[in-house]
Amino acid sequence: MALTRKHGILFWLIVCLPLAVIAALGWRLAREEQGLARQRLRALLGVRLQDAALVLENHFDELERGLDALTESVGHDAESIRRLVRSDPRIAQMFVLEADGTLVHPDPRGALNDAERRFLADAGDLFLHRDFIRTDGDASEGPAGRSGWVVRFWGPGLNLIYNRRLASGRVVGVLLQRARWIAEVIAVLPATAEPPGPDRERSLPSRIRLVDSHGQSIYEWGAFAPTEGSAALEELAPPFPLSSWRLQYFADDAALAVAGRGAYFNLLSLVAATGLALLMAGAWFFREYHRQVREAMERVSFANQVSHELKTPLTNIRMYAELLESDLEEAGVDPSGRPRGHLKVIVEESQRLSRLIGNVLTFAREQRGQLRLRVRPAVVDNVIAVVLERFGPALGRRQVEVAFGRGAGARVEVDVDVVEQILGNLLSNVEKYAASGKRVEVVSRQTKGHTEITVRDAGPGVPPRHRERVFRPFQRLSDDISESPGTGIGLSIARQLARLHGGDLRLAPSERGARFELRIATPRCESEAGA
Amino acid sequence: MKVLVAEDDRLIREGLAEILSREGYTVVLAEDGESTLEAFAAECPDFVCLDIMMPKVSGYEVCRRMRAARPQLPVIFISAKSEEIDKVVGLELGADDYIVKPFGVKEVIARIRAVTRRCYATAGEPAAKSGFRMGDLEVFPLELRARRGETVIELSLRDIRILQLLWEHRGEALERRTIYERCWGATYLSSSRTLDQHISQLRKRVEVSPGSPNVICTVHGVGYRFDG
Repeated sequence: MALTRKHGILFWLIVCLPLAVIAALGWRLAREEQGLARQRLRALLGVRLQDAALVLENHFDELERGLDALTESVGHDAESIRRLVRSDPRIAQMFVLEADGTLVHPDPRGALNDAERRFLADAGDLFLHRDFIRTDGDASEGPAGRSGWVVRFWGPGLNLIYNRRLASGRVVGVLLQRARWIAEVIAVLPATAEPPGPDRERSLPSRIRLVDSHGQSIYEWGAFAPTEGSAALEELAPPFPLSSWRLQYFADDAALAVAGRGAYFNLLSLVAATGLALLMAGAWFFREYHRQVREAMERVSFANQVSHELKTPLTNIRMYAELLESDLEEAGVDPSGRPRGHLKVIVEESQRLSRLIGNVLTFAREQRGQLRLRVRPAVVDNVIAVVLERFGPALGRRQVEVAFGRGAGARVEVDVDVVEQILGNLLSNVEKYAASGKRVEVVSRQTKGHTEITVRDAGPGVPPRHRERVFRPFQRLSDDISESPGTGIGLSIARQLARLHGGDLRLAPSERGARFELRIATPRCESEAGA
Repeated sequence: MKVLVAEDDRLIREGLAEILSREGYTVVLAEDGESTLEAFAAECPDFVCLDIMMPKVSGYEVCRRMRAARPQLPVIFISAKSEEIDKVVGLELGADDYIVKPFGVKEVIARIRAVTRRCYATAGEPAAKSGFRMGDLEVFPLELRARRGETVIELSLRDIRILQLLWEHRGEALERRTIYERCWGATYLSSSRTLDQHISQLRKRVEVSPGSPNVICTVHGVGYRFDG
């Protein structure tokens, strides 16, 4: 089950991780896309406002030209100037300065009408400087002399004063009638905010508002009705002399949100398609994996079942062969004769089959996580002796000399079956692969709490690069068909069992042959430890 | 010493019976749980070899009922499945030992001797029976072992009986028939060759030089003698 959970997590990682990466990258891309779309929209709005500003600029250019002509024709006496003021509705008041800067009209020392007095009261500071011509913006240098605008705030708000130095050095100034110039400004501005032509249909409902320096709306146009207090999407200062005012662009907020929404839709589609593909691929792999696991489990289960079924007949073959051997021995039948020889083969092969079945069942139990230790008091050297005795005839027939160096004579807590199985697998390997060395040496040693058993042969050994590979299940170092048969799980099981027994099994470097070092935890028996 | 063997497979049952008889035990056989309990009540065995998967009543249940009657009864479980052994150990049924199929004769003998030693140890045998000397050979019946110097010799119940009989009648020539009756039991019928062959095998283990024996000497035409 642990394996399945691990692979379940892996499955979700394989599906979710790429999805998360695609979604994160896509989100970033979509945000950038939306930012770009907003920028493009803002630029478009800017253009719309600039168009309005251009209208205002043209209007004031035209106005300047008219005023230039007017100032050219201004006479010297106060009465002619007053007549001109009265006759032109654009003009609220005029003033004239001599070349030396002396104000000659309206003359503060002369008789003034009410309008002139108010003008001097409101704009008197204009004439404090002798170098008048004054302009708050860029003064233009025309063929008829320098001219420019002065803006002053009094009364209800902005007042525009145009002044011009004539060729004679005189400066003539005109205070524009406020209501009139505002009405003219409004008149030149368009009635609708939508662009003309084919774009009209596709354009967003919008409104452009011209506001004064107090934020009061002077004029606004367009189909969209902004809510009270809503902020403008874009803002632009009109050209001088109206630069203290603002042109503001209003449109539905959702209009901007819509910009770049296509990118999100594309992203969503991509993520959904990728997710679906990954899920389908994952589901397919998951199902495939489960099928393989189920098949493997069935195979293991089948092997397990078969092995169990084989146990009883195998017990009988082995037991009766050994009893027959004992009978023949008692009957004095020649041990080197053919009948005893044949019987030995049956005994050895049934023992080999027992080992194979034992390995298959241990492997199956290990796969199911059901390997358990069953320790009991025993002397490890006696266990080794039993195993060596069992292998004696088979090794003897291959002329393999067995040497046993006893060093584990203490009574310890040990799983005898486990030690027998590990040693059985190691000696079986000697029998199969290292008989050519003609010698195997088993040496035992006990330290506090541990027993070490070394099995060293004089065979061809294992190349250093394969020292770990030999412990992997189903690994055979040679594919040569003439090689000895085997399941390829013996050493893997031996190591698993050694680790289960609190130790390890390793293949140590050796000049000649293979040298397996087994170490297992073997606590002393309480009765012995106390002695 | 009487052993009850409960195993549903006939061949294994009879094979075990043969091994145990050769070792010198009296064997009672049962083929299912019910007959095991009946034999247990009727025969009062010294210990039991018990298969776990048996018809009618399982080995676990048989063990429980027998232990209820005799808590100290030694039981060796026989099983084909390691999982069952795990259960036996895990349930703390008090298995004295277990044998997993497929097993060999020597494994069975080793396990049975170990249990026999424990039976002797708990039976509280008199101290006099705990050891005797036959020349340089020291025999320990309760351990089913003999020692010569540092060498430990594993012996069967029958081996011990033969040596003990010879030691008890040291200096006397014991007839083959007497040795049969005392060491094989009246029910065991065999040819004289069986005894001679057994003595020959025993000599290989207990004599320094089996060709010129000091412990079990042959009395031609009669039987055997220990000269003391």
